Amino acid sequence: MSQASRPITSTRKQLWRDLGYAAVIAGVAGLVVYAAGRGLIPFFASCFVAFVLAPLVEYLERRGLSRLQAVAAIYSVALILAGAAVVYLTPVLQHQIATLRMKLPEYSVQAHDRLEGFQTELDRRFPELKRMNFAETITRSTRVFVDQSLERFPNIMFNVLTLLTVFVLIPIMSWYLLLESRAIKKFVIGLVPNRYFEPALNLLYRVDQHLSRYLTGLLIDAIVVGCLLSIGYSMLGVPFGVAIGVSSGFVHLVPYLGPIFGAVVAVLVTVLDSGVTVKLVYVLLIAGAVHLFDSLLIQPLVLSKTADLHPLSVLLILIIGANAFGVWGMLLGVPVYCVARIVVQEYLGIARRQQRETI
Amino acid sequence: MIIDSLWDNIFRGHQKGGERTVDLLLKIPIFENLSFRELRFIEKMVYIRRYASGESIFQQGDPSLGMYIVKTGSVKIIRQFPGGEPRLIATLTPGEFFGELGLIDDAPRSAAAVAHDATEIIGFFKPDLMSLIHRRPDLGLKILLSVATTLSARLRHAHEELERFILNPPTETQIRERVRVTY
Repeated sequence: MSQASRPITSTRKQLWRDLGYAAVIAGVAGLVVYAAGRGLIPFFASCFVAFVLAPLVEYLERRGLSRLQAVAAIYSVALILAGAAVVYLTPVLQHQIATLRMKLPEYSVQAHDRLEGFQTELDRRFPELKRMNFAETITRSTRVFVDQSLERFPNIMFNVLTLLTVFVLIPIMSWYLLLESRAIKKFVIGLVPNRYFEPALNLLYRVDQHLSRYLTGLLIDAIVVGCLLSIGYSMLGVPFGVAIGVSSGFVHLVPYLGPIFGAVVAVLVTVLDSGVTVKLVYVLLIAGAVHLFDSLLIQPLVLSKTADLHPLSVLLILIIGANAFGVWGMLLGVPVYCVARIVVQEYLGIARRQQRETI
Repeated sequence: MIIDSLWDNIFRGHQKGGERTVDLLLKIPIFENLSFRELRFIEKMVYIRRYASGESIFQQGDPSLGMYIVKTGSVKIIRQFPGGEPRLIATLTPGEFFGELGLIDDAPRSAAAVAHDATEIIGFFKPDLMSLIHRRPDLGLKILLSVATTLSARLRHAHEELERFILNPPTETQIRERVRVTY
């Protein structure tokens, strides 16, 4: 019997059976993800690193290097940079934390005096607020927060598991993902039944292209924000202005977070360096200006180009993602939307094909 | 059974029977200008799929994604003409290929392909060709040039046929006979 004259019931049955298989596979995958829980974070982080590095590997391949040579070259450069960062940043960080601990009581007293002055003024103007004692409450809360943060900071930074994940697991997994990406893709495609083979291949290709373009856009955005903050803080004379800008650029891989992170660190460093002065206002103004510039111009422009979305759609997705799932919603909102859109388009293609087969 | 071909694709082991993939690729005009080393590179990019007898490879009207080469078994190419019954256009045997236009354009498939018996085919697809052009422009351009040469030969052949038709128009009986022999 020719494909064109296949009975409707047979095609429908087949579709239901395929949906059943898909549901079982999705269920098993969901169970695995649920059981593995946070253990899968290094794997997802490795996928992210591999996606970001893939265009660089392909660039080196175009220059005549083999895949292995290209990945090895990138890892060598990354290793040198990481080594230099550890050698350079560790003493600086240690010195900064020690300075912060040493000067904290002095700044605490200064801040307390200012707050007491404010409380006295408040009591004089609004006697009914006297019993709330704002100055004491704020000073106590701040002291507890700073003490806890300083105690936790080394634990977070030098936790063995964190170090193992960041410096060992993620690079090793990324290495294999970069080297074996084509074999992995072929294996995944090999699992797809023949009738969905071509649509699945097309889907994988389009998702790959979109994610790669989106991550490149995200990187461009992060670099622009990092550069703007570095220039702004350096011109203002904030100590470690460039370092703060660069680290804010990294943090900005979570959309919108870069300027906020930069502002917090720059305020802390400025307070440590020159106390509470008018400079703090400029620090906040720079962070606010970069944040606005990024939110209203760079992000919609870059992300809409790379993710093939209207700027308003990008803003809307970021807002909905942030409200529904917080930072994760902001980070994953646009790529998840893009992938979902491609999946729906491919599904409609399959549905049209099934419909054609039943006619 | 069709479900068998699914498990066959998943648990496919090393090549059993038939020609080696790289030897088969060498016989295809599109790959004939490539060195053995380049063919080994292409071998890693192609997909080998198994189809049960009667199983559809693609439908007429599906978006074109790439070309297929018959490795073992045979493939029927069936075309549905407007308002008519589906007609068998060709039966392809090992070493023959189809769907190469899919490497160039996105036009819908002009005919359906169905496995005639238990068949193994090699698929080479446009996304992989694009990726190849991006990563290895030298190799990608060699393949593109070969595709262009194949298409140019076909165009020339069609032109000659048309010229012959214009200079010496066939009678209705000849046309009917030609159609009967072809289909």
